[in-house]
Amino acid sequence: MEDPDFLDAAFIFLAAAVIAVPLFKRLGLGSILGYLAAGMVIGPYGAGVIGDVESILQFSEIGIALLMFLIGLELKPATLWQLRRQLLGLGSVQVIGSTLLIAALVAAFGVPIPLALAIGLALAMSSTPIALQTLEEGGHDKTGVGIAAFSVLLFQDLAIIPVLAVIPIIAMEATSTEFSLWMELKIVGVFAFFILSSRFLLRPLFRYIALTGLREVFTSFALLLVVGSGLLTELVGVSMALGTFMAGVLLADSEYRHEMELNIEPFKGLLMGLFFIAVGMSVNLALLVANPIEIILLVVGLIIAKSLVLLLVGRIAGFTRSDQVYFALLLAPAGEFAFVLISLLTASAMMPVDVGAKLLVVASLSMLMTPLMIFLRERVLRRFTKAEDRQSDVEASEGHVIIAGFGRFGQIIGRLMLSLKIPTIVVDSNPNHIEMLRKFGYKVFYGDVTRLDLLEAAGAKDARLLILAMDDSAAVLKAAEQATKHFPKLTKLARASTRGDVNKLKAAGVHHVRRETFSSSLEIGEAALRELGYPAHLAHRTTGRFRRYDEIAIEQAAKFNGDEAATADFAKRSHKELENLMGHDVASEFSKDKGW
Amino acid sequence: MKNILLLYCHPSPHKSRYNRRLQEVARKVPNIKIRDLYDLYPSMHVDEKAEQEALVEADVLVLQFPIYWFSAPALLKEWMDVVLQNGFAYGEGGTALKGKKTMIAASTGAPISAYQPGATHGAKIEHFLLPFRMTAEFCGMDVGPAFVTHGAHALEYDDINARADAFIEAIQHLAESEGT
Repeated sequence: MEDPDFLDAAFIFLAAAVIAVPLFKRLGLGSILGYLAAGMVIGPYGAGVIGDVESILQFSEIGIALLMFLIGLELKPATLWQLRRQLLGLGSVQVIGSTLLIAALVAAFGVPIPLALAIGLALAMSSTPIALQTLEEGGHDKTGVGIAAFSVLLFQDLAIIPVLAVIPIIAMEATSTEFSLWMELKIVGVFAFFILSSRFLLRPLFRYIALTGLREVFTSFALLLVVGSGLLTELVGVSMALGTFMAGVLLADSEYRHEMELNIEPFKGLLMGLFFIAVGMSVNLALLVANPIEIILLVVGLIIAKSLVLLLVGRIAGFTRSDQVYFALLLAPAGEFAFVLISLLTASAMMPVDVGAKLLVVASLSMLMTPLMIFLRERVLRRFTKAEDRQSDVEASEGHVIIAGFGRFGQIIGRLMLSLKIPTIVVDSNPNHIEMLRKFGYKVFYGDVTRLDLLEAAGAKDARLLILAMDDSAAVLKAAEQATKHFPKLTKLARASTRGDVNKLKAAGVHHVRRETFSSSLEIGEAALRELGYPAHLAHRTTGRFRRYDEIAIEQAAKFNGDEAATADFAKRSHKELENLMGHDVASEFSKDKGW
Repeated sequence: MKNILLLYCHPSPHKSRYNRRLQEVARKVPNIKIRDLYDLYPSMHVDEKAEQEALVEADVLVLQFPIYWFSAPALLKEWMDVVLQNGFAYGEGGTALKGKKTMIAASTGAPISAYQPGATHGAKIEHFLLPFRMTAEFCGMDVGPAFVTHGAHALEYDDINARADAFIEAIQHLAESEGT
């Protein structure tokens, strides 16, 4: 079978995804199953259009690296530290428990104990991308179960480091010098480099690149950062996923976080899809057809064995019963780590080739089972939902204020919010603002608020308010329209530069519009009246009256929407009217009425 | 010498010859501090800290205001609401005003004949000043007789001057009298 060239392959992958994923999504089966099915169809065991699974799988692992980086970005070091108990406690129970249970079962069939342990380890791990994607699609990624599942997955990634180092020693019985103090030193060195560069090197570098104003350079830099950190950690024997995760965590405090998320997200989506297709392609359907009962029994056995351990872990974590089941189904199947380890074991003489092939089918088939089982569980649950079992699904809403544009205007609003400790996220597209404000302790992000994805990343869905305070009135209007269209429930406040903008912004669904110079001009006007001899309270009320009349005039001008001649004519008339009204009011103030 | 605090509360000082004249002469009283509330707080945001400090410094408090709709102008009520706090003017530890002497100086548009039972205003002016007197007494203050000028807008120039002198005399008398 001749492998198609790059463009043909790209066409095949894209077409398979575009056909299968929407179909599966429509059927309620989720996107992952769609990708997996597409992979099975085009792979070497299906239609055979694409033969080289190995290199596709390897390439698409960048997708996992990007995924882990994005997850890291969401987690500040302090948040990660809060997870330590879950991570070490739940993670170690899961890994050790599953490994021993699987090893015992395998050993019962007469497999020598070292090999049984190796098989146990290989199958004890779960699939990070499948589990996380499933969590995200179900909207469970921020819930207690989601966080616990993530902790366990992270522990597995950590556990892989020594395992990968030890397995070759057992397998090849070679005296490996790799797992030594020197190697540990290298790991420590790389992470020290990460921490130092995230503190001192990356911030000026990001600023320098953002100042060029070229989107694609920023994107390239973000991707370079992820791939680079992945390669660096792989060099010292740590998995790429763990390395990019750490890089993400270290950049979680960065004001460029949202912008990085936006730029990396599409690549992550594409490459994760490719990864799922590759997993689908690697399911050895021939072996399954030859031995259906044995393989299926093995898959079911694996899932049951791991589920038993996971149910226990879920119980320790204090989940409700329905959450325990979800947690178990999510993590019970084998993961991509099984592929690595099994091929490592078969490459050495430790594992017979036919056993390896069989295990690979079991592992990949079990990965197929995750989305399927979750789908079935939801179906069953929908029928037997009990209120008290579902309470843990409630997600925390952030309820923050987003201020877009942090120039002289937005800063005043920001200072008010900050002084009241109201959670505020600031978005600004000027790197100079950001650099300065970071010093004052503001939570500022770099980005263009007229972009829908940035609004999303700033949490517009859960925000209480969106305050549009940018200088550029066209950008304010565009952002207001975007926000109204996509977040109709969000309360919007906006700065207008001209009288005409006021009505445009109101038409765009902004709840509170204020002209940027109107209030301060009126205050100067009031001070002028006082200097001219008006008593303070009268000056205050007179300017207040002027404000009211002027706002009514703008409201009335709204009906001339767009018609310039009519607007100009109306402006002239309303000016005359205002003069009359104000003159009349002042006259009544100073007239016959003698007070006491 | 006792410290005198005069709180002047008139929303339309430009309309009242009488009250303007009283302010003019009051300014010359030694040891007096005048706070023109409508001038200080045209938007009615009373600075309660500044007001409390002024009260603590004073031994004698004079409230000067016109009667509008059987009561004081709105800002004086706002001033009472935000300044006379629990723990400051009353309640536990609220002894800041205890023993200070106070006088109400009110002007009315209607003549004294209107402030009679059965007349247009239905009752003597003391009825309508009762909330202010009671507020001061509740805060432990020593409230003297009110200085009331009826029909203030209709007074002749000489009458106004005479009332102004009487006002100063009343303030000084209050400041010199022995406390209870």
